[in-house]
Amino acid sequence: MNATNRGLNRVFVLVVGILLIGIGALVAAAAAIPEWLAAWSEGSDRVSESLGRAIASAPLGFSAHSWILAAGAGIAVLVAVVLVIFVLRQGRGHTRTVLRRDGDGGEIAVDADVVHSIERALRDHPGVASVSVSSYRVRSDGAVKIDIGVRRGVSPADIREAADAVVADWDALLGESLPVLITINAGLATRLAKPTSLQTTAVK
Amino acid sequence: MSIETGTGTAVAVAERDNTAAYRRIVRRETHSPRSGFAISLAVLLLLVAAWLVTETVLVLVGAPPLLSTPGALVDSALALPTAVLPAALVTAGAVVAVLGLVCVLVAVLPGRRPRHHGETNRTALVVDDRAIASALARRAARAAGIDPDNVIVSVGHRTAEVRLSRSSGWTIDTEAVEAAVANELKRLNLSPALRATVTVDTRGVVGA
Repeated sequence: MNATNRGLNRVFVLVVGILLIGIGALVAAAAAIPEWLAAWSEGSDRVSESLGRAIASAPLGFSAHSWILAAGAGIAVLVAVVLVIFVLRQGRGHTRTVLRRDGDGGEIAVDADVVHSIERALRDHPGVASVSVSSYRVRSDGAVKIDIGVRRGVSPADIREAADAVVADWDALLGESLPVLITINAGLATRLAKPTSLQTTAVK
Repeated sequence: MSIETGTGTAVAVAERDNTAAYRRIVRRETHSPRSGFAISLAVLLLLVAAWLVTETVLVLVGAPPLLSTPGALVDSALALPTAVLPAALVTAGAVVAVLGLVCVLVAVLPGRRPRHHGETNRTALVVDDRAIASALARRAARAAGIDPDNVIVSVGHRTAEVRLSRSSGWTIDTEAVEAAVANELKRLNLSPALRATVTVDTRGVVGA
């Protein structure tokens, strides 16, 4: 539910993949075909020569080195900065305020802590091994995610009923029905928890 | 503050249409964001870029290189066709291309997570496949009158496979198990819908 730009992730991975395929295929093909290999080593010599001349004719003021070297480093720094930004932009979108409404003579802001009362209300359910509630911004408004780890064998349908009841109470309190996602997992907490001994699933 | 369950106060709840938000949320919860893969890739490239910058700075200040100077790197890259056996180049190129193919597949495939979503009404529901399997195992075991540990359930994208192992001398009412599993799936009302198959291990396990 976070704000990760998934399209950008895909495009980034795709572009790197296409570049790798292109380079790999080109190297393999050039090495496999004798004429291509000859052309490649000839081309390398020419590039090497002209690069040597270019470096010699582009001295960097204060040192014996070429500014081509410094420019290369500059590009590498730029790429590194872009990559750092790319990594840091993953997974944001949490919000402290789930709802903001203009009332008469002021604004009403509902803090995310209020939502966390859902956690307390669900924790005592016999089928629940763990609960965590988080709030995100989806489009412009707040949305709530309730992650529930269930005990072994507990029906997710029962857990959903219990969670829906809590959400209904919460709606009545808030006067607004925010989007709520319930996720039901059987994770680590499930494996560590004992199966419920008193399971009174009413078969409907 | 606390919320008491079951004390629905009669306050008018503003009607709002969460359909679009729910569609987006459920789609994002059931598909991978590929963040892990993208971040790993970015960090690898970042390390290479940082190393190149470091080597360049070392050259500029006249310090010895960590591994190789940028100049030597360019030289050895240009010398590749003559310095390295063509067979090695072909292999290396093929390996790089396969890695690239893996990246392309990660980017293009849907990246489904092992989860199913329930019916969206007031809330949206996403259930982990293991939780589904665990619930089905419990129901199947109860219907068969055996221990849940003797039931193995594997949940795929569209199928749920329930396998029971039977103790010698006991019979299992397969129809009852099928009915119980179907009932549980009906209650869960998942999408994509799961089709259950129930099989009983006929070898029989002594003492199980």
